[in-house]
Amino acid sequence: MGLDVRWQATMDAAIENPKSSVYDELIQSELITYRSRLATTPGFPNLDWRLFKAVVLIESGGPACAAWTSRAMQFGNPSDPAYNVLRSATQGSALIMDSQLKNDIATKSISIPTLNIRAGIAYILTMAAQFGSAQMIDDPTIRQHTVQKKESLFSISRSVHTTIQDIATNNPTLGRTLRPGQVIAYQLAHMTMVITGWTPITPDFPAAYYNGNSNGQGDPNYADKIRYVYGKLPP
Amino acid sequence: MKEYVYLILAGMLAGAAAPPSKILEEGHATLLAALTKNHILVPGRRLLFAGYICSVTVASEELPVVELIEQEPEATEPRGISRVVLLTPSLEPIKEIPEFGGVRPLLCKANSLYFSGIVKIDNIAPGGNRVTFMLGGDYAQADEVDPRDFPAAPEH
Repeated sequence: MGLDVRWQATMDAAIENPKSSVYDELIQSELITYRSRLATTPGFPNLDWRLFKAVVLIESGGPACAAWTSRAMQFGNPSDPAYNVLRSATQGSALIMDSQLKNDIATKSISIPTLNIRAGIAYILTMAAQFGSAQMIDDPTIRQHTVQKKESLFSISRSVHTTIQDIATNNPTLGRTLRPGQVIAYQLAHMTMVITGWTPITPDFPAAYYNGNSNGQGDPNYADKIRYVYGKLPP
Repeated sequence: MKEYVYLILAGMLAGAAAPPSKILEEGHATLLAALTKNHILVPGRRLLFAGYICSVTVASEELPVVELIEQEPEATEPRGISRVVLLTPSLEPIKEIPEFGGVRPLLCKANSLYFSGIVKIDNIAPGGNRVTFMLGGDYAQADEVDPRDFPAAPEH
């Protein structure tokens, strides 16, 4: 492990600093809340609060650094694409964030350290979740549509508020070519995003998905740094 | 005799042409100017790499694909952002695909872009190493193919 000795000394001092525990309760309660909301999703991972604390210490530099009392997870820096993901509630983050966090991100400064940490955790979980699309039946009543000229399965699904999957299910003998006058059965339905699985959150995960060291332009030692700090934190 | 004249003319033309590095530099400068003009490059990020990869053909339009590797310089830790961007023929952005974990774009074939590694579209699983663009490039889906079935570069 080729970690810089000065960086190690900075982290050792940060861990020893009594102020380094001020966010412990916040991190723990956030993870408990996620566990209670999302534990029933397939493959929900073990969430170790000390791993997230390690990320906070590494990102901020510890209590002696200015970032500790502002953007403690360095989330929402001016050119940070992750902030826009949460603000626009895209990439599945709408399923991860609760309404309180959505509201706080929309209305409060991301430089509030507690919000910064909550947002950072939400982003890591957004990247760890695997999202898929699933059909939701809005009304089980079977309805009928008569095919008009130039209509396609796609245009019909849009115009009658159903899905191609629902049309396929309700019309198992339907061929690829539609004929005008043909009658198609359907239910009111729409597609929605659901959590279909999770990637385990190990030290390598924030290194790839939070630090973004995809092509060598992030910190190549990030995962080792997490392991170093994590190994020094009391259980 | 006639052949010699042609040879001399060809030699003169070749001599007058810009060296290959200049032609490539000009193409790169054009790309950077378009990425800046069309707000694809984000102010405040440090651009480390911008390169044209290939073009996909969607509904008979040739759409260029570029890869951008950037850094977020304000961050305490060096933090990276990697993405490929599908562009219109006038080099405006259509769709972005983020890259994580050493993924790189390789080549295009018809309306598909092939990657080394797995990407996800809009963070939706399952991801894949082949992204196929439809509906003018606004819609894309990823699937996984055996790398042995990749088409050979430089086809597109």
